[in-house]
Amino acid sequence: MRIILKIAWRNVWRNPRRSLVLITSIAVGVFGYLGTTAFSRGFLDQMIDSAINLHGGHIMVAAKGFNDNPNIRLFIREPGKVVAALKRIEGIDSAPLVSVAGMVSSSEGAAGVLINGVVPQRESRITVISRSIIEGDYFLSGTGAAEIVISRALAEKLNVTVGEKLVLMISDLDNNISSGAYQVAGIYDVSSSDFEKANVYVTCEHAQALAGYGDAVTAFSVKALDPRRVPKLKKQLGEALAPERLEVLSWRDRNKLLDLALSLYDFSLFVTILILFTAIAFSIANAFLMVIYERIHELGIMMANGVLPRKIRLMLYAESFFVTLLGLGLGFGISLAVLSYWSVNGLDLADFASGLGTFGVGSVIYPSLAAFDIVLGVVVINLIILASVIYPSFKASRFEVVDAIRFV
Amino acid sequence: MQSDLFKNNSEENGPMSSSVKLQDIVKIYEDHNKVPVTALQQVDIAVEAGEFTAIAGPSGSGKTTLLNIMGGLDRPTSGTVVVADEDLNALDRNQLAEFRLHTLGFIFQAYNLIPVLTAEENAEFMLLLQGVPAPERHERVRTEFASLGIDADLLHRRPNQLSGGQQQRVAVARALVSNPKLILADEPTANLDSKTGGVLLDKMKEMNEKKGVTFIFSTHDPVVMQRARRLVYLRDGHIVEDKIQP
Repeated sequence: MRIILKIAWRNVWRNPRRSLVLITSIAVGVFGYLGTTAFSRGFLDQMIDSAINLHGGHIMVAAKGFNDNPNIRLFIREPGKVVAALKRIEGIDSAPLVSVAGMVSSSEGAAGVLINGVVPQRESRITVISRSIIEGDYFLSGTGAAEIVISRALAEKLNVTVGEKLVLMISDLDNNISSGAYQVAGIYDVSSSDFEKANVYVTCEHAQALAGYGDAVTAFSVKALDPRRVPKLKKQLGEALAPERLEVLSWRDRNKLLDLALSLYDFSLFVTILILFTAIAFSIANAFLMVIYERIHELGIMMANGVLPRKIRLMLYAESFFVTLLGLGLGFGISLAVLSYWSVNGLDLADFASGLGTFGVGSVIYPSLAAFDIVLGVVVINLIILASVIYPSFKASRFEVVDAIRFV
Repeated sequence: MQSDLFKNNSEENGPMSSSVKLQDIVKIYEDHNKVPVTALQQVDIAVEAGEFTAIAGPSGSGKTTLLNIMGGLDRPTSGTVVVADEDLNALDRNQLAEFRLHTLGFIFQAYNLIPVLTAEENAEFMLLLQGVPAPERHERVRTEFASLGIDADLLHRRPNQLSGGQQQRVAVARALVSNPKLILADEPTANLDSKTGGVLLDKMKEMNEKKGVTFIFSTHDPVVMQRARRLVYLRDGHIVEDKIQP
C-alpha cells in the first residue's frame, strides 16, 4: 500500500508542468467557488442584519394580517396584554412601535414615507438607528417635543438640516387628514438607500396622536439576547398571545424573499460547485487519460510483477487525490487571504451595483464564509475529481498485461 | 518428456517443486489489420523444477508468446497451462496477479524498472507488495546487489541515472530477491554488452544451482543457448528441437 502511494506521489511530479496546470485549475476553481460563496453569504448576512437591526428585531408581534397588508386599521388594541406577556419572558428586549404610512414635506419638496413612532430608549436596544446618527441627536430625551429623525438621503431630498421643520401628514383612523410640524432632531445613515428614503422616526406618543390610536400601537419589536433562541421564543410568544388575534412573526416570516433565498442558498452553493468543478473534472479526466496512455508499458510491468488491478486504480486515485489536495491547499490559501482582507475592509461595489440598496444592504459587501461552505467545498471537489478519474483508472486496470508490456 | 533428467541438484538445497506443463497450446491473435496470426501451434512442453532452459528460435517463432503464456501474462487460445501446480486458465486477473507475485519472477529485455523508484525500491518492489518487513527487505536487497556487483552508492539512484547494464542488474535483483520458484527471462542479455551479459548469466546459473530456482529464457544469444542445460528450439510456432546439452 505504501509503495503504491509513494509511486502515486512521485508520479505527480514526473511532469511538473502538467501537474501545476491541473493544480492551478483546481485552485482557480476553488477561488471561484469560495469567492462566489463568500460574497453571496456576506450579502445574505447583511440582508439578515438589515432585516433584524432595521426592521423590528428578531420577532415582531402585530395584529393578524398586518405583515401582509400594513394598514392603519390593523393595530394592537390592547397593548397591555402584550406587554404583560413579554414581561414574563426572559432574555429579550422589546419596544412598542407605531407604524403608519404618510407624507413628509418641507418647503423644498415632499416624499411618501413610513412614519415610525418609537420609544427612543427602548427602540435603541432593538434597531441601529440611534447608533447611526451622523448629525444632531436621536431625540432629546424627555423633552416630549415634536421631533423627527430622518435619513441623510431624505434630508438631501427635502433640503433640510437639523433644527429645521418638516410637516408630517397622514390619513388617520377616521380617514381625516392628520398632520403636524416636527423639528429635525437628528439625521441617520444606515447605508441602505431604499430604507433611508422610506423611514422617518418620531416618538411613539406623537405617532399615536397622528394616527388617532390613543394608547394602541401597531406592533412590538422583540430582540433576543441569544439569537439561537428565536424559534423557541417565537413559539412561546405565539402560545401566550394566540387568543388575542395577534401574530408572532420571526424576521424570516416577515421577509419572504430573504427566507426563500436562505432556503435555496445551500442548494445554490451545491449547484455552483457542481457546475464549476464538472468543467474542471473533464480537463482532469483528459489529463489522466494522457497520463495512462504515456504509462501503458509501465503499468504492464507493474501488473506483470503482481500488482493487482485494484492497486493500479488506487494508485491513480491517489495521484488525483494528491493533485486535488495541492489544488485545494493553494486555492484555499489564496482565497482565505484575499477574502480575509475583504471581510475586514469590505469591497465597495458602488460602481457596479447601485441597486443593492433595494435589498437593504449598502454598496460595501463584507464576504463571509461558514464552516459548512468549506466542508462542502472540500467534500464535493474531492468527489467530483475522484469521479473524473474513475474511467481512466478503470481503463488502466483493464489493460491486458501482455499488450501493455508490448506497448512502447 | 525427458525433463526429469534435466533436474539439477536443487532439491538438495530446498523444497523446489515448481514445474511448467503446457499441453496442446494454440495461440492465435489478430494483427493490426485484424488478420488472424497463429503464434503457437499444438505446443507441448514440460519444464521440471530446477531446470535451466533456453527457448530459442528466429524472430516471430513464438518464443516470447510461449514465455508470456507460461507466466500468466497471456492466455492461450486453447490448451492447458499448469505452472507450479496451478491451472492458469482457471485463474482470474486478480488471482493471476497474486500468482505472479508469489511464484514468478520476470526479467525483461528492456530492463523495465519503475522510473519514479530508486534502484533499491525497484529491487524490493515485489517484497513490498508481499508485505516483507523493512529490515528483511533491505537486507535481502543489499545482499542481492552485492552478489550482482551493484555498488552501494547506486541504491538511491533512479533508473535514468543508471547505465543499461546497471538497470538490468537491478531488474535481475528484483526478480531474484523474492526467491520465486520460477524465473522467466525474455531475452535478458539482448541489450547488454557481452561482459555484463556474462556476469548476469553467471549469477542466474548460480541461483539455479545453489537455490534450485527454475529459469526459462527466451533468447537469440548464442552464449545463453550454450550455457542452458536444455535447449528448446521453436520455429513457426512449433517445437522443432528439444535437447539436453552437455
